[in-house]
Amino acid sequence: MKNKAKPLIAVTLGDITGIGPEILVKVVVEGIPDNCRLLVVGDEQVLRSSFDALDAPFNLPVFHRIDEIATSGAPVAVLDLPQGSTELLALARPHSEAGRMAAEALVKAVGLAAEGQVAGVVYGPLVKETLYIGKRKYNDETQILREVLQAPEMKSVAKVGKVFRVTIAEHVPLRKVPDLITPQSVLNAIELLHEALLFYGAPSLRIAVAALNPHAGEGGMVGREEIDQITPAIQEARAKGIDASGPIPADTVYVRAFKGQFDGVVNMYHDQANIALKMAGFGEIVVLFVRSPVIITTPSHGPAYGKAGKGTADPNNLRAAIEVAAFLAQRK
Amino acid sequence: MSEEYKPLLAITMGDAAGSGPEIITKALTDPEVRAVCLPVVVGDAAAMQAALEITGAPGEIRVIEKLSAALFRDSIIEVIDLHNIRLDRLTRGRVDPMAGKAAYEYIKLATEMTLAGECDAMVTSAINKEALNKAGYHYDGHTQLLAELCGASNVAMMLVSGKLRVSHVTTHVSLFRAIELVRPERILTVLRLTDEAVRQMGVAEPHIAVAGLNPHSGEGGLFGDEEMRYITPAIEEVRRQGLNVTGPLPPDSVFLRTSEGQFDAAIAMYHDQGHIAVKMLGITHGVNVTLGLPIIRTSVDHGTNFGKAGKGTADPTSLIEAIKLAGVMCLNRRRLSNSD
Repeated sequence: MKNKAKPLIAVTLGDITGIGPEILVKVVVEGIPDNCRLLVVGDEQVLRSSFDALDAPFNLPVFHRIDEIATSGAPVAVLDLPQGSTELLALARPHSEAGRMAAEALVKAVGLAAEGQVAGVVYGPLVKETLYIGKRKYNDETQILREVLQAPEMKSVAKVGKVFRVTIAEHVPLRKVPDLITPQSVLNAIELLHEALLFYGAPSLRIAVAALNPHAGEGGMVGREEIDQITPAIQEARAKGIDASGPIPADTVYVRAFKGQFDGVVNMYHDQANIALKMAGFGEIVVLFVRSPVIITTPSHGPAYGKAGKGTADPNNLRAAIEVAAFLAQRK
Repeated sequence: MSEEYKPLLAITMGDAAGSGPEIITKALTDPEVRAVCLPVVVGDAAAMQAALEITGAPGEIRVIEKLSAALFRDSIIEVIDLHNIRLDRLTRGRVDPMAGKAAYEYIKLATEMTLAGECDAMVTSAINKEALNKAGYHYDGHTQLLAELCGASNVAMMLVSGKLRVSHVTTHVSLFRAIELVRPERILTVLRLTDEAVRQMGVAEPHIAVAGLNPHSGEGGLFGDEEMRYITPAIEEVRRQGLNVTGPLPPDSVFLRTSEGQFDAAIAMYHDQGHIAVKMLGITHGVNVTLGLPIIRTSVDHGTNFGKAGKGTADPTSLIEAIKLAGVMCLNRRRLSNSD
């Protein structure tokens, strides 16, 4: 494929106090996925400093206006978004100004996608606690995206290797989880996952629904949510033609999914999914958005402040996110 | 201490309709097993004889009336015969109250023998909970049954798989109930039991990690406060008592770190938290250890494997590891008590 025929994917640095800039430089230096071109949307000076920090020569074409880029066939280019604040690089802790920069770059990149100037967006790792636009604080990036794109139904789905994942009660106290498991919430999650599999063009659409209680409640002996909430949702999904199975004991659902028995897993809570995925050694988890007018993906990890500035951060998750965005752009 | 010391282990036959008897014939004819212990099967001699014929393991069955009659010759599988299986009525691979009742009787006798000090530890094969219940024994599994037989009120389940040792603060209760049971006193108990067990497993100065209950360990109260209210105070208390304990740590990384050798054991707050981690390791020879009993008890970590019963193909690795671990624990218990 000639460079100009490859989809142009906008990439942001994320929170520059974390590992975002470092992993982006590594992706560029080590070679970007060959199914796309990249447009880095961010501050040129911050980017130059990030290359310097890794002793990598900076030789990317830098543009100040998006229409200049159309004529460039460069595999990687920069759209300068002057923001200053290079001193925040690898600060290794949340900083409101860095959060503001990250949110601004995200809004800029998503705007370009909405205008059709880029084919998709990959944003670098962010933290919720510093997501400001102007003085307004946002709960998370999904809130920003929904607002900017006027797409209130947008939702994120994770892709872990070949397996897609939706979690019903993610960042909430565990004690609140049982109340959030209802036939409606379970059905919504199954439908979202089904939609994500279709969106991605997955060859099969087999969905596993994890149980909430140990041994899937053991016929009601150790919890009734499986009987009262989860099973009715599975039955309803099946009546709608979705290939959903379960409830499946949480300690075997990913063992089975990774053996190829399922294409997607609905999880009830955060650690049900995350313990399994970390134990399986999956570094490459990509978050992608469905019900969105533009293609958006991001690596699943945060800014990893503990690793900031050490040069040891692993760029593979970001590279995978770029690959998925490009794949989706080509499918469109 | 004599290097020749070999602990005497009572090995229960488990559910006769499952793969337990076949697995035992393989494990007890393994030279590595014979090198570390003196095993006696508590079971049914006819069922063991049939299993031996199925597997073709290189040994023979010998019935003994009591432990003192055991010869412990390498190729002889000695069985204390409870004579409670009618082979002509047994269908392998099917739930059978006769096998459930028999399995209960093996556990009861082996527990009594171990409590009396006639043997040093017990190692249990898989039982079928449904068969047990249909036979009129209403327990949720080995752990509850053993606790009752031993009169122990504070027990905990530890799974051992490779380098990963995980003790559970709660096990067979609903997630909702588990959250209510995560309280300092219980966490303290499980921490102390774990420290003691890990020492018996040969670690001189155990470093134990404690998982949080909530995502990201509560993230400073944002996603739940059980860490601050219950888990941290318990950790601080055991530290004052001299235990080396770290936590609460985010549940989604603590077990991985432990499996990589960063900690000697991890404490899980609820069943799936620990079990997801262990099962994802993909190791087929995990061992289940009951902590808090007055005796040492290890077990296979798999079920009765009805699908393989009668075929001679069931994998004995988990039982072999359970026997070896019981042997190591007996050895260290002896060494630690001698050094007191």
